[in-house]
Amino acid sequence: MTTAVLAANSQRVRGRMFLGVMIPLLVILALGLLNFVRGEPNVNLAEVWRAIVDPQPVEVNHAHFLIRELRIPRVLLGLLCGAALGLVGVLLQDSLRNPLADPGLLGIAQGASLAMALFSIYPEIMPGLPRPLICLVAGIVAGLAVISFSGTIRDPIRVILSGAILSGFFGVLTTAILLLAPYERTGGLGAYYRFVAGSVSAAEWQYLHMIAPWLIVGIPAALLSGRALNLLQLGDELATGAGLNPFRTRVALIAISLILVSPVIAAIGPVAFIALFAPHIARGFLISSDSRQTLIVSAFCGAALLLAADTVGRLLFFPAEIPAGIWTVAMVGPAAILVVGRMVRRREA
Amino acid sequence: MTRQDQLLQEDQLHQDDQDDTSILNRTLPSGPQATQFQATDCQATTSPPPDISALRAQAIDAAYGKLTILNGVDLHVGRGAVTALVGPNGSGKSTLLKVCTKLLAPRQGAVVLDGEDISRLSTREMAKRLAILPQGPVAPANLTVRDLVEQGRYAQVGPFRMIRRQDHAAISRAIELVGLQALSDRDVDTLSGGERQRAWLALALAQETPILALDEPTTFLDIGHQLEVLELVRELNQSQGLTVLLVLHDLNHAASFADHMVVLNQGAIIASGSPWSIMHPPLLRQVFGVTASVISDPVTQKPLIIAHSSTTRGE
Amino acid sequence: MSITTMPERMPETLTAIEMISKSERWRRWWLAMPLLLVLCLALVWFSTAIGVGSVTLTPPQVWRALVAPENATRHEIVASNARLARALMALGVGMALGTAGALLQALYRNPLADPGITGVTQGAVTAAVAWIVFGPVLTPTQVSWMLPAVSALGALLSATLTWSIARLGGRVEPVRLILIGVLVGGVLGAVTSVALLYAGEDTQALITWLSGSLASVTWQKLRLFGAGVLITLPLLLMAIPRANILQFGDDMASGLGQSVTPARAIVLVAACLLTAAAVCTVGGIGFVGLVAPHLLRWFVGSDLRRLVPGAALGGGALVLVADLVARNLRPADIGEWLNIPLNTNAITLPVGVYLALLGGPFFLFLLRRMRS
Repeated sequence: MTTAVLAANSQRVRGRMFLGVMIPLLVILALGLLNFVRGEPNVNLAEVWRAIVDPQPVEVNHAHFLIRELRIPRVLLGLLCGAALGLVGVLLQDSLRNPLADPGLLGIAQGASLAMALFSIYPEIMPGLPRPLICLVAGIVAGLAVISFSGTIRDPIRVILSGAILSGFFGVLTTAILLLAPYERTGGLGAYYRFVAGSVSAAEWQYLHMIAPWLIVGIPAALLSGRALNLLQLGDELATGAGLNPFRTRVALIAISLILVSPVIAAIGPVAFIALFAPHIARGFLISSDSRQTLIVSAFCGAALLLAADTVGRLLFFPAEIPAGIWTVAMVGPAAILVVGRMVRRREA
Repeated sequence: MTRQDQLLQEDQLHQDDQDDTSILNRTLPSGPQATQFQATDCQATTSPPPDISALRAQAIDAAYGKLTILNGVDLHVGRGAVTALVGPNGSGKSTLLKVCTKLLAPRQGAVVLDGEDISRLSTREMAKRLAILPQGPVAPANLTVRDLVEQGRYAQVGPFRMIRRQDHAAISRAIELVGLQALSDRDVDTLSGGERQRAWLALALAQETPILALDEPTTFLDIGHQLEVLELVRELNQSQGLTVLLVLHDLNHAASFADHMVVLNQGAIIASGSPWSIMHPPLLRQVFGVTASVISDPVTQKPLIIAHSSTTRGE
Repeated sequence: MSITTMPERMPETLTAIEMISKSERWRRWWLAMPLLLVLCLALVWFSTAIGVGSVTLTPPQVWRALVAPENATRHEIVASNARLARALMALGVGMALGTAGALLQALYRNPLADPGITGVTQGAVTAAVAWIVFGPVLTPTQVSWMLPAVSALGALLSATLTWSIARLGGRVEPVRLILIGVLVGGVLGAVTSVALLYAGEDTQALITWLSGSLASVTWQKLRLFGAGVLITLPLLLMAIPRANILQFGDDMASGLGQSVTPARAIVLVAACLLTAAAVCTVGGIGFVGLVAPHLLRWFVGSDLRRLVPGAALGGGALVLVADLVARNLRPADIGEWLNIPLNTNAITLPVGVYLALLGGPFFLFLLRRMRS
């Protein structure tokens, strides 16, 4: 009888997992197609299909070029970055045992973005350095500063306040760089959005080439860390008892999340709330809090969220474009408010 | 078993010595345990409540949201006495204290203070009549003892919140009453647990109210500091004629420091009366789920519980 | 443990009380000492701010230019006037933000709270930016009084929104209030960014303004700011004792005779109005409300009757110093020295940048202290 219950249970668990992958996948497919089709000019599906399957057509028309060189890379960049952020969220939240851990709230994203702004506007300071590497170093410095200075990073309220103060701090410094730099180097407002809010609009194949090696290492590493995350969630004492060195494991997991988040910031800037919220959506889908499942579902949810934010930003006020980073705040922000409110209530109870 | 019976008989002897015995059985939850308790202990006579009560709660229903905590509770707090509310976790004792002190509005029922319904009193008026020390209060950083105690005069200070001569006198007197004169300029954060609790007590005393309500004043304190605080409360009650209503977790503390004990369980008052009339193995078994003996403290002659085992697991 | 006061020893005790009362007066003077020091500091920075600039003026020169302009050179008069306005504004803005920070830290019972992160500043900023970008085209006179009103409204709206969401779950707990404030601020920041998209040629000026700048201070703005603060003053006087008692927790405040919810509303509104007054004149200046109350708390303690004046003066001194740096440090010179091409229009950086440079490390230091 017990085994039957367990089997039924695990079937339910698997069913929810299936849903958690399928629903974001459907959203991604629908939005991806919408992105290929709509824009200036609108194209029909046949044209899209031809552009996808036929890389070297006899006659290259405008739509073909547009889809291959702008729309496909943009969708792919959004998907990959979103998935990476979804994974980073789970890695940080489960390893730090803090449901609010997120590169933005830990100051990593804005710190890295500040360095990005500095070195991409003034490449002569450190010529030839790959951008994700800059982000990685800056992210490590910013993250270390926060974590070493705060000690108790577990108190969710303190994390939120620290995050708000730090993003204010780095944001002002980034603004200062943008104000000081000559106009022809920044290109004005576009740079402001890329470095302060985050935007996918500058997508080109070149960006995908840039992030690919990092994600090829980072995504499998993240997916394989589910077991360690499961143990860490139980607390350091229990994890040690189960034969895990909590400190070393945590450092390794944070390293993986930095490897994932650095290329994302280099490519699209400090897009907020995706890493924070995708894991929460994933946990909403799932019954168990098994990190192995959360990781997979969260990656899909993150990809869908970022693609949705970018699609809305690109098409809602067409031809004006609102950067994805603004839309993630505007769309996910209110939902995050509700989640935090519920969390605080649970803590009080 | 035989020893327990013997002790029980001893209890009953002691109980007969007490004259203000009263056990209010009115809101007993029905069930086998409850009836068993009634059967064994109904010999306790229901005496009329003390005619001069400083505070009286009538038919109180209270709830947090949908969660009902108190169910038709009547409470009398005798003037000049130390009344202790005891009961297991979640029995509603702190909630009852909050209702009595206007920190929580009851869903039904009324609390009468000096013949007036407290729901009609302003918060400020209330603070002039009754001082409350909530559980585990936290002081802001960098505050001296005197600054802390001064807050007790919040309701009394004159126009423009000026601290007047009589306020200074009250603050100094309160600090003296708790014996913190030497530490009055120290930062509250640097005090020991017992000293800190005494400082908070001084804050409540500075309100110069006839009634003092304390919500578990001994939590987070070690045994020495617990006794230090409780002895101080007892002395204040005796020297100043203060009426004290307090929630206590430790039954033995309640028995040795209170004149009157009120036992709550599942949002209802199970029994109330002098410590000797309350501390009974059957009641302890029913309310706290423990098998216990009650003996007389060799020094103070107050009832002392020795709990032997929990009964909840086996049932 | 013994009780010294017994009824029969009443006369003796009274004299003791009288003695304590006397020493208490001395103690109060002693506690006010740090306040005097901060006041001196603020005054020193104030006179330095007026004296230092492209032309250094001695105090007698400034005095002559202001009191007897007929004896002063034209240059002296212009410089003194402009610098006086700017220094007064810096002092005023710093005082308003320092006060608002002290009030909010007490209200939220959290040492990390300040108008910048709890959505209050962001409300004022968003309203002002949206008004500038989308609002009707107005004459400069209309702008000068409409803008403050709009941003005060924005701050209040943001606070009200925060308050209403926090109340959805029942009682208004400080923890929920602060978290929702942060998130409301974030969402409002997104709205500001959208508004910026439509700003056109004002963009550069608006971005400068967003980080807080004292470059465009005029006497008229100063008068408006002064009027705003004066209107808020009675509310502030009501708010100080209430915020003071709220620091001790809801039950304690209630037990001491203060109904909690109205007190909280009064404190929040007072902090909003002060912040709005500062924001609409100089923009989204940050970190003052965080740093000033903290520094002063180490010297004067948490009692708001001392902390509010202290934080006000400290905030004033802080903004004065930062603006002194902002006014006199020319990034272009440094850029030239380092051989980095810079925007030729950016002669100086907004004061908010220097405050952030000061406040960010201070905040990390604060986090470290809070660990213990």
